[in-house]
Formats: sequence, structure tokens, C-alpha cells
Amino acid sequence: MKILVCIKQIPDMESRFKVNGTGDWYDEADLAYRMNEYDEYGVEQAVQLKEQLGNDPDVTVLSIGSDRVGEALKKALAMGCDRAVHVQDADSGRKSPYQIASVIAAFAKDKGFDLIFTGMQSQDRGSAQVGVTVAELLGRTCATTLVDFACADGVVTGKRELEGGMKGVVKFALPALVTCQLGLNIPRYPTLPNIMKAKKKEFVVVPVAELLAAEPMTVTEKLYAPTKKGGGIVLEGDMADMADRLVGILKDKTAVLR
Amino acid sequence: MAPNITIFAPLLAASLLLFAWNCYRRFSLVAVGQAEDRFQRPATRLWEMFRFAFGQKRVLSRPFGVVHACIFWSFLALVLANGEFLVAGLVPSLNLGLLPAFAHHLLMLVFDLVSLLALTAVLVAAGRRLFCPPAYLDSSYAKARSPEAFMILSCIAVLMLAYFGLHGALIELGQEPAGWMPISARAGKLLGPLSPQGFAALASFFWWLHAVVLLAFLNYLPLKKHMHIITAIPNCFFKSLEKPNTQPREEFKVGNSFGVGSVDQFTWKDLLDGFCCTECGRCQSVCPATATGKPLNPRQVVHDMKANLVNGTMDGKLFKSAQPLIGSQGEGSVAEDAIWSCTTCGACMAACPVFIEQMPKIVKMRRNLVEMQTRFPEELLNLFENIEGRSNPWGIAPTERTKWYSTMDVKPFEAGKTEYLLYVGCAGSFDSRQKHVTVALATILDAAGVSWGILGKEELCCGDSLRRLGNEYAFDKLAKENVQLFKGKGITKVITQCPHCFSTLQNDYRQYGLELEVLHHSQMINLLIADGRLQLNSQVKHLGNIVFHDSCYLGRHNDVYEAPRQAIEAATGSAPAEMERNRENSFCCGAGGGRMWMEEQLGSRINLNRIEEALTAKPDTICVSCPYCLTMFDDGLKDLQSGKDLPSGRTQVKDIAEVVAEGLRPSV
Repeated sequence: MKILVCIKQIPDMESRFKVNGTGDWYDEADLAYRMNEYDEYGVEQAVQLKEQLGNDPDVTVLSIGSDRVGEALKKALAMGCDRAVHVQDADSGRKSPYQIASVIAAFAKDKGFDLIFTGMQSQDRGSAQVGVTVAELLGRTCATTLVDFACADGVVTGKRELEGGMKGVVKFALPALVTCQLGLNIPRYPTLPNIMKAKKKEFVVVPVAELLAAEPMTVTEKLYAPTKKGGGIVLEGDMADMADRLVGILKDKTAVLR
Repeated sequence: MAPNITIFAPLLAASLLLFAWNCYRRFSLVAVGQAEDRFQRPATRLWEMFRFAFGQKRVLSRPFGVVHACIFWSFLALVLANGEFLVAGLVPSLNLGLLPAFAHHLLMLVFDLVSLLALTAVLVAAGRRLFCPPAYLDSSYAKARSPEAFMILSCIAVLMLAYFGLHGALIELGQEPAGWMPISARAGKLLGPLSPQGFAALASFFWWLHAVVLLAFLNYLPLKKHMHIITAIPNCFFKSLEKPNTQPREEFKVGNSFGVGSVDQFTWKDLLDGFCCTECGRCQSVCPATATGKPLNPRQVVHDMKANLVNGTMDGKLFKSAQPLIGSQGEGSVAEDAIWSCTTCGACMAACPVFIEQMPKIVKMRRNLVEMQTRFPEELLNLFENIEGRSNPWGIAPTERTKWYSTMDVKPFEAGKTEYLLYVGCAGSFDSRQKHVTVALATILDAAGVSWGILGKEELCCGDSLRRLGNEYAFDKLAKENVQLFKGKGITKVITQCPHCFSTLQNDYRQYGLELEVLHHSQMINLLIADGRLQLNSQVKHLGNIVFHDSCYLGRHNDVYEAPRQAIEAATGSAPAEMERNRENSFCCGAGGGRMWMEEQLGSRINLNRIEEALTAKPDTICVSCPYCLTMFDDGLKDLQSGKDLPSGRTQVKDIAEVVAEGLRPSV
């Protein structure tokens, strides 16, 4: 079995973001980076599947970006992936989701991957398009937002998170692509021997030009911070009086008491 | 008095052979351990051995230790007497009578008196175990009234009684002078009146009793806890000369194993410790985890290590454990929740009379759990990722590191322009309560005209928690980055407000070739007051009765006890009140060793134990010198005082810097 996990390196969400000079993405200076949370679930699930199947599957982890994404790839290798592919692209932040998906599809199309994991979305751009677009471009079965995953005899049984707290069970045969949601698993902390071993694993670098043929179908026009709305109201004073005033505000300004 | 050599000689030979064989077996188990250099600075080591082993310094630090010291010093004198006894048993003409008469008589007097001393001491010791045993003598594997303890005490008592019986009979027979052996002479009188044959028979009986018990006792030594007679003195020689909290670095090479997951991965010194423990229970009596009903007992850790070793088998030169070292298999295995209960406060090591190193063993096992198995309490996953990703335990954005000085003018450190680096630390930068302490300290430094600067957003976590939690790989990365940063900036003098930063920068980073002059803020403040550079405007009175709590990493680990007390005294005009457990006997707040970041679900809470002790002094203010202590006391006091009507007012917690800074307010 061959598995592909697609990961993205994203800035630490605790960081203070600034819009860049061209006004279409964030400024990358002074940011610390880590692996996209949802992609970490994908790595963990792929490694768990590998362990479940007696180490048989070969797990490739792929990331697109500048040299710094090597760190995220190394972490995935330390977690248990077998080989890493770094698609080198210093300007990946400004590629549209469709272009990113095209690059992945171009890489994966003749490699015979039985299963592809991606996160359900990235924490920075949050378009949630890359996974499904890759599946479309490759003509694959696709299941999104998985919170539970089981695979036996070439058939995947998954639980998808739906709206309103509902879950849906899906069953499909390989080959397929799945996108991972919070709750699927708890990504492991790599052991030190595995961190050491990761340094010796195959690490391929591919320039993005070799895989990119698609033109962007959408372009980011402008990136800006949300305009500040009016400040909050702090009620002070006697408890009963505050309650009355709160009820008044709720009646006037909201729909909850109408 | 000439014993039957044809019986005694083979008996002695067999005993000595058996003794040598058993010692060999024990010490070959010790040799299973990994290499470690414990021979550097031999002169210091000899001196320490003299002070602590022969001088019984630590034994005597507790009142009852005097009984042990009596037995020990008597034993030293009686080694000579018993040596003569065995030699003369083989060759009767070889005896101390060959010495000049004066020396011989003096020795007889000494032997006679110390035998009485030893006999009295073992009776007192037996009485203590029988009638008023302290709780800490009991553990899961040994009780205060254990048959073994009484057997050892009776062996010593029988030896002394046989000694008096033998010499009493010889005095009655006129073979020894009564004047030099007053006790034996009295014993002889008690035996008689008898015929010379009767006394001869008694002398023979006591001689054989003494011989048989002595040889039996000798052979009992290597088998049980009494082996400390052989190992404790060398163990004092081999004691760690380094700070106890500074564990050796690891070498991160492919194929290496990390930490200690099986008993043979301990060093020989660790294993020797196991054969030195005489189950006195002192470590148990001071351990905050044990005191609050957690699964950790430092003495049990050492015992389990020893049991694991002794239960193992040697296959040629290869050691095979019979059970896992870490696990819940009972005796011989150390439970994981015991390993995670340690606050690394170091109280166990400070209490051990023979310098057994309990705490470093726990950290070594943590290293194995974290690095080899990634088995640790789930809260730590966040902690590790926060420190690795954002270089602070809370996972707050590194850009927020400078927010504490929004109202002050603070300069970056520049070599040549600034004298001191104020290493603010994670708590001082991010913890909303500790930020007040940082501001207080900065105000003090400014008021005293100190030239100081900070690293600002470039500052990183020191890695203390990582190292104590056994995440040595992550610590190593952080330490290297810090060392590079410090060297690159030409930093040589550092002020910290956190004893954990203080100890890590000063002791741990030395292993990375960085020698810094690190001052804890209490030392700095003291220095400024002593030099007259810091002038207070008023004496701080409104904080009321102040009681001081010693931080483990400032006090026990780094021997700074007086500086914070003097700073408080300088600010308030009176010395702070002391808790019952103070200075080297201080009791941990519960947050060291990475416990700050874990839930405390087992047993009762350590901070409450300590706060209840502090409150007996009826303080208005509890003064601390550490951000962890500050948090633990603040939290605990909230729990104890919330919702209560306290007529005497609420007790508050202040750092020493805050107390001193109060004195900088303009006087009214």
C-alpha cells in the first residue's frame, strides 16, 4: 500500500500578524512556524494505519513552500513517515488553492497512491479547497472532515463531522482521499530514536516549476484586518438593576427576547 | 585463653571465603552499571568522606543520630579489638599484649568503655523501635519493628555481652588486669563466684559465642541492608561534587538509548547507592510527595532499583533483569506515577546521611519515559510544544515578551554599554502576577543606578522545566541556542528573578561551556543595599508580620539562604519570621521539577501543606523569592481563604522585590 500525506507549514496562530507590503498576504517576518494542526491528524492517521498493517504501507509526506517547510517535513518523518518530498516554492503563500492542488495532483498522478490524507483546511488561509480539488483532479473518491477512521481489506469506514453536532458514517473502497478534522486522533510526540532516524530518511526536493502548469483561477485582491466595531458595554452597580438593564439591552438590540 | 584452633581455623577460613564471595557477588552487580567518573578531586573527596562518614555530620543533624554516631564510633574502635580477637584466635601469641604496657592498657580501657557505650546505644535504638517508632521508619517493604532490625541490634548486643563475659571471666581467672577493664571486672563479679574451672568454661563459652556471632554477622552484612557498613564510607567519598540538580548531558547519536529504562542503564554509582541504603527513612520523612500521600517515596525508588538488580541474573557478563524497572509490577519496579510525582526539590538528597542520589535517578527514568517511550502525563504534551514552538511554557506569542514594561523605559542589553543583563524569564515576562515583580525589580535597579538591559523579544526560555522533566533533547537544543545568544552578545553578568532560571544559567549551562556570573535578585538587592547604592525612602511597615519561604532552587540547590532574609530585614527593619521547616529543611511549594505544569490529582496538595505551616506564624504577608512559589502560594491562599470571614485579615503573598520596592515609595 502507498500512502501520501500532504502537509502545510503555517505560522503559529498565537503570533501577531501584519499585512505584507503588497497588501495580499501576511508579512512573514518575525513569525514562528509549525505544522498545520489538521495535517498533523493526517500524519498521525497515516502512521497509525502503517502500524496497523504491519509496517507494510509506504508513507510519503509532501509539503509545498520555502526552505523552512523542511522542519515540518522532518517532524512528519520523526512521527513515522518513510520519505519526504519538498516542493520548493518561495512564493507558495500567494498561490491559489487550485494551483496548490494542481501541484499535488501533478506529483501524485502516476505514483499509484492508494490513500491520500490532507487536513480539512489550513489554519492560515482556511479555504478548505485543496484536499477536495486534488481528489477531483485525480478522479478519486473523497471524504471530508473525518473524525474517525478505520481501514480493513481495502475498505475505509469513516465518520464525518456534519453540521449541528451530527455525524455521518461513510464507507468507500480505496483508492481515495480523505481530509482530517479535529478529534480524529491525538498526534504523537516523536520519540528521540525516531527523531534521530528521521535525519537519515529519504528527502527529495522538487522545484515547483516542474509540477506547476495551472494558472490561478482566483486571485487575492486585498488582505486587511476587520474594521473595529464599537466597544463592549460594561454594566456596573446593583445586581437587580444590572439585570434589568441587561434585559432592556437584549430587547432593544438583539432578537433573543422578541 | 586458647581456643581450639583445629575447629576455629577452618571456621574462620570458611567464613572469610563466604564473605568474600558474597561481597564479590554484590559488587559484580554494581559493576553492571554504566561508567561514571567519581574520582576527580580526590583530596576534596577524602575530606568530605572524613567529615560526613567518620565525622557523622549528617547523621548528627537529627537528634537521634547521636545514637548511631555512638554505635559507629564504638564500631571503629572495636574493629581493632575484633581484629585482634580473630588473629589471636589463630595465633594466640599475636595479640595487643605485644604493645607497650601503657598503650595496651589504654586500649583495654577504651574497648571496655566503648563496648558499654555501644551496648547502651543499641538498647536505646531497640527501645525506640519498640516503643516510639517514628512513622518514617515504616515503608511498604520494611517496618520499624522489622525482625531484621532487631536481629541486627541483638547481634551487636550479644557481641558486647560476650565481650564483657569473656573478659570478666578472664579477670576472675587472674589472666587480665581488673583495673583497666572496669565494666568487664563488674561483669566478672556478676558471673561468680565460681571455681577456676567454672570461669574457664565460661570464658570458653563466651569466646565461642563471640566468635560465632561475629562471623555470622560478618556474613550477614553483604546480604541485607546492613551492607551499609561496608559501602557507606566509600559512598561518601564518591558523593556528587556537582550541584545535585545538574544531571549529565546526553549524547544524541543514532543507536543510543536515552535515560534509564532498565537497571543496568544506571551508572555504577547509582547502583552502589542501592547497597548503601540502611532504610533510615529520612528521605521519606522530608519528601513533599510522600508527605502528601502521593505514590512516590524516594527510599522506595532506591529499594526498587536495588531489588530489580538483585532479582536479575548474570548470563556471563550480560545482565538480565527479571522484571521491568519502570512499571507497576510492585517491588523491584518503579511506578510511572511515582516518577512523575517528584518536584526535584532535592530534600531527599539533602537529608540522606550517606549521600544517596534519589532525585537524579528519577530524572534519568523520566528521560527514558519522555525520549524513548513518549510516555508522560498528557498535560506535558502542550508544555513541550509550547516551549519548543514559542519558547515559553504558556505558549504565548514570543512577541508579547516585552509587554511587561509598557509603562517604563527599558533598554536592550548592549555589551560595553550595559553591565548587567536582566534575564526576565518566562514567568516575569508572561505571568500577569509575576510581571508586577519584574516591574518592582526594574524600579529597584533604576533607583540604585544599576546599568542593566534586557534581551527583549530575543529572550528564550531557559529550559529548566524541560530538563527536570527529562526532555533532555529539547533542553539541549534550547541550551545551545541560549549559550550562542549569550556568547554572541558578550553577556557575562546576569540578574534573574527566578531561582529556576538562576540555577539553570549558573549550573546547567556550565556544561555547555558558558560561565556566567549570575545573581538572583535577592543577592543583587542585598549587594545594592550593602554598598549604599540603594537608599530606601521609608521603612516598609504596612505589610505587617512577614514570614519567609525558602525556594528549593535558591536555597537547597544553590545554598542562598541569607540574601533574601537580609533584603527583607533591610526593607522592614526586622528579620522575617521563620517557618518550622526552613533553610535546607524547607518544604517545596509543589511546583518544581515541572510539576508546575501538571495536574496534582494524587494525594493532597503540596502547596496547601506548606501554606498551612506558614499560617501557623499568623503572617500578614508570606514572602517568596520565586515565581513558582508565588503562584502556588497565591492559588493555595485563594482556596483556603475564599469565602471565609477572617477577622485578622487576609494573608497576601509578595516577592522580596515587591517588599523592597515598597520602601522606594516617597515617604509620607
